[in-house]
Amino acid sequence: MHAKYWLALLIAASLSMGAVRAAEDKSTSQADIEAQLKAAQQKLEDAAHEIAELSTRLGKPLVDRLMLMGEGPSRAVIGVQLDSKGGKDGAHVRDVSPGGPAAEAGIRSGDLIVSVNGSDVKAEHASTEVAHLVRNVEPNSKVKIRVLRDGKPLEFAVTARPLENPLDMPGMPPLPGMPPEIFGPGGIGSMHGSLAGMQLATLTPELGSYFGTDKGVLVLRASHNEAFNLQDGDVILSIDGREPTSGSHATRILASYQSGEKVKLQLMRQRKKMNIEVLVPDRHHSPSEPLAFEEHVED
Amino acid sequence: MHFDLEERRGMQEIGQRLRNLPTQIAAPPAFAEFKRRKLARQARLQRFSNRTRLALAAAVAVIAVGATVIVSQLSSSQHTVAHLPVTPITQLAIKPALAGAEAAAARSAASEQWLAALPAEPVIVRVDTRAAVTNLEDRIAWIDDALTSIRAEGGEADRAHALQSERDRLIGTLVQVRYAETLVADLP
Repeated sequence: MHAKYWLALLIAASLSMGAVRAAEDKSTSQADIEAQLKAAQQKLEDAAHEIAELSTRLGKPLVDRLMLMGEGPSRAVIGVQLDSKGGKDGAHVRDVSPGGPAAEAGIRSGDLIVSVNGSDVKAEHASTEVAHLVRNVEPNSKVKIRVLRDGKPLEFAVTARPLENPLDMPGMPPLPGMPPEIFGPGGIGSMHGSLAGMQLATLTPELGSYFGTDKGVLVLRASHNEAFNLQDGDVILSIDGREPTSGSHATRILASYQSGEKVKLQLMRQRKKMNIEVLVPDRHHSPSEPLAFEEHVED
Repeated sequence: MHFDLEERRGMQEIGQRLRNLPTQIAAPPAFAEFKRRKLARQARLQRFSNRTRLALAAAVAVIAVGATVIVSQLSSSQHTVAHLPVTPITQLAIKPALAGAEAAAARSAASEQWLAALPAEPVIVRVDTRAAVTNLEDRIAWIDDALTSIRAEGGEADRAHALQSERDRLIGTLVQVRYAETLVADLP
């Protein structure tokens, strides 16, 4: 009788151990797959960076040559390519830069620009006139552009985007065997280092009411190396007085800083407004290296 | 084994009785009705098989016409595929018949249409990938501005051509980076 009892107990124990081991194996393999997926995701992002960097590097000699010849934008651009022909009616938009200010405002290729900030451009050389008017606008200022689309007048407010000399433009990564200083401030390379892993979201009115603000960009995930002293759930209200209107806008602003520069951030943290001042970290900043920052909470 | 004589006699009697029966017997009373129903059923079966054949023929004709229409529409839609809201990258390939600058311009135009169909940014902006995107966008904007200046001032055609080629190349890169960004955004 006892022998049967012990045999049954032994079988039950071995079965339950087998089940536990199978469950452990399953969860381990699930975790492995998740880790592999994350690694593949990272590889995909790295590949995108590499493509962007190499492509940028490939076009640099041409841009350099043009800059030496005195071509190119001076202060701000609106992101349109105008036809030289144009006409007396206005400047014909040949192309709109993808993701550029004009595209964001709603201007399309084929539109006919008839006025810029109230000044009519119905001249013989309308495209020259538009180029001249745009060249004189302040970076980040709103430019009122009136167009004719299929004969109907439309007006757009385009935010002129500051663009520096492309030699200084952010984005040039360090070339192997060359000092990083020659590639200008910030850029893809430095962003990849100092803000790696950071995720942002443009604040909707609903999200805004939850976080106690009606503007700003939400930090969903702070960077791996705690750069800029940001935390998950922070809302970036302004960066050195510039109010980011979207995740892309915040990215553009943050990418414009050089390592070692001071940045004043206004944040909403746990529904409290606060100002912090941080040093832009080096592109190869180590996560363990402490960052200098000052913190002031507003009442 | 022997036959039972009694039984054999009985069988002879039955045989005699059968031989005495009239050669033609009257039909049972319900036979007319049975025959009418049988004929009606045969007629119905005949009509059904005719209808089935007709329906089958019609269905085959409809399928053939439909397939022809679909195939013709698909082949014609290959020319306008870039107008779809989000066109798969693989469909942006340009006919090999187009060559050189014409092909590059067509590819660039298709790429720009694909880019225009995408939202301005993903709901969740991954800063490092977005930095690559914004950098490319800014370079393209710079080139567009430079092209406007060169053309407006009647600059050299080869410079404008070189810049336009650079723009087309950067547009291609932007498509690749944005495609990667979209893929990463869609992953869990």
